Amino acid sequence: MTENKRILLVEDDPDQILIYKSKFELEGFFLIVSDNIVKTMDFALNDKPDLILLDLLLRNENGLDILEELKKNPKTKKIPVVVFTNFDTEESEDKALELGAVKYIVKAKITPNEMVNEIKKIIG
Amino acid sequence: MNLITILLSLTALIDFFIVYLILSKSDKNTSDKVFIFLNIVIILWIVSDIFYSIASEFNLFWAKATYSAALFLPFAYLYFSLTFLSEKKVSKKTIVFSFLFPFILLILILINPESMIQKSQNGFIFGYIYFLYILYMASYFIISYIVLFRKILLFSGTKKGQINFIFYGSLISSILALTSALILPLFKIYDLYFLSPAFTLVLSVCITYAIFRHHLFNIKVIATEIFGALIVIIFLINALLSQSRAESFLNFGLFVVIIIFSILLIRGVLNEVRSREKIVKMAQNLKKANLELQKLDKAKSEFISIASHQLRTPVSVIKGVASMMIEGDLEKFSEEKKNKFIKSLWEKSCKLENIIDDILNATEMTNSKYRIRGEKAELIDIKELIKKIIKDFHPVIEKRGMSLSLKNVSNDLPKIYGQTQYLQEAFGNLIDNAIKYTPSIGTDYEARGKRDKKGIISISITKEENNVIISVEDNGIGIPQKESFNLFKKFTRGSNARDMYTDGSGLGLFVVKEIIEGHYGKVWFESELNKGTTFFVSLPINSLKEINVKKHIIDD
Repeated sequence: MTENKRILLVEDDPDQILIYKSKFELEGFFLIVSDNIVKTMDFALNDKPDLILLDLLLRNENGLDILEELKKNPKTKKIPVVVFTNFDTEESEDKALELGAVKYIVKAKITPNEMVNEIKKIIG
Repeated sequence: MNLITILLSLTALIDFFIVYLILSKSDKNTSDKVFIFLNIVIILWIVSDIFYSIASEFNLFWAKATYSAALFLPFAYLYFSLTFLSEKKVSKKTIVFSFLFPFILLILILINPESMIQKSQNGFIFGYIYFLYILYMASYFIISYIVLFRKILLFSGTKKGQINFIFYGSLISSILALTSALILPLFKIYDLYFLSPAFTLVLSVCITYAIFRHHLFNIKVIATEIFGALIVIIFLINALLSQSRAESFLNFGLFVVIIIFSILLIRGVLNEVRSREKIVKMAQNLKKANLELQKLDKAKSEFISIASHQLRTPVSVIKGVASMMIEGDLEKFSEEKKNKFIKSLWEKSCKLENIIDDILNATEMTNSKYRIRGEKAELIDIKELIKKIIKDFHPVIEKRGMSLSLKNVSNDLPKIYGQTQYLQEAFGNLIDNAIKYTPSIGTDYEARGKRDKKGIISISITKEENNVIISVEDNGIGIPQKESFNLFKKFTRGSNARDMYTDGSGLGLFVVKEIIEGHYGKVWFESELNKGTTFFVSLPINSLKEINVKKHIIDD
């Protein structure tokens, strides 16, 4: 029952986007891509995503700032956010979970398939 | 022995003591040595003055001897005023030139002593040489005052205080000495003549105080010195007041012993103060070194954290694509899409290799890696090298809608000795940086946003004297002023660049500097925030022999 589940992917690496967009769409998810805070908030408010996949190192911004913003806004704070990054430190994980992320995943340690399973666990 | 002789002997003794103090100073500079010379001249003057005072009244010989001894005093004082607290060395020409006048006067006095001073019934008659003498002394002292006064204006803080002290001290003492020794005799007043060396005491004490200022501020040392001086004076007076020969002998012996004792005592105290200062300095150095280590350690951890992130980024893509291949997902896509996947696999693998290279370079501690070796060096045509690099960058430039061109090339460019691969890497890094930090029209995942202006990078190669100058100019985001100092160090990136481009290792400029300096060249930049940056590289036009000579000079 993954049809029409919408995922907002906040990521700026084109190759990464290629993999995950292709994989998620193969699995039946609908994917929107954003790479900065303005577009992300816009999509989050207007396009009703079911889950947000958030990269931490974006070219203009820090993903944690976007996370904070999402959780501050009452209209978007209920959307589950999965932080999806290559920073593998306890410090980073703690901070992200503190700010309200539901999960912290290190990109290099997960395959696209496993990723899909994790997401299905969260939004069905 | 009359009072005057005692006074003069005392002065000589104190000057001896001063010479000893300066001699025992651990780090003597030129002005210290000149001061020793000055005091030796004073002592010679005093000695002949003592003999003059013992001899019969108006003894011509000793009068002449005294004037001759004092002859080099103004020269020594001028030399001292030139060297005191001065950073530059005094030129040999100046020294020889200023030595000339007293020397000529000396010759004149020796050849023609009557024109200097002659005996008359109740005094002396002075000839033309005497007036030359006065002129020489006065003018040298005036020049010395001017030199010192300029230093007062130039310096500030404690240095100013020191020079002030010397200036006024010497002004007083030399006016007194000159008056009593030279001016008053003209008016037949000879009484104060004996005293003139004593007035130099004011000068010597002032200078000594200025030199040892930081020592004398220590109460312990001052107290010990005063104590030592008092004891010495008491025993000297005691010795001088001896009634009989035997007593005199004993008391002078005691006096000598006391002098030695005082010297040892003061020396001991000075040593203690000095070693304590040394310990304080060592502790400060240790603290500084510790802070440096902490900073280095922090930089290292930051670097490792960044490096591991950078390494993981391409790896995550490679793993992602590979796992989709294994699970058969790739087959479900169009041919075009499949190719995109495989291309990203290739690109990320290359990127991974580059990052690993950069990290290995960063951890290399020695900087001799990039020093060109005579055997491996070859004559390189810089223009052709740059053209090749520009060609290599063409696809990236196209993709970003930028322009990269060789704008300005001097006509008769000589070839440069160097190692092609290193120079290629260096220039490649500079151009890479220019591209990274110059946003251009069109969408760009790696450069900051979009902007209306086209990103333009222009390279020029010119010849300037003995160097070839290569400049890489961009119209990008620029480099903030305060970052410029650290830019060529490992792991740094301008703070505005960090915001813009999060890829890469932060080592590009460090490697460029190592390579260019290994080629005995220089690299620097000029920049204006949001207007652009120009990096300059200068490479020397050398023969291979010169390179090897330079190498030996630098390595040995």
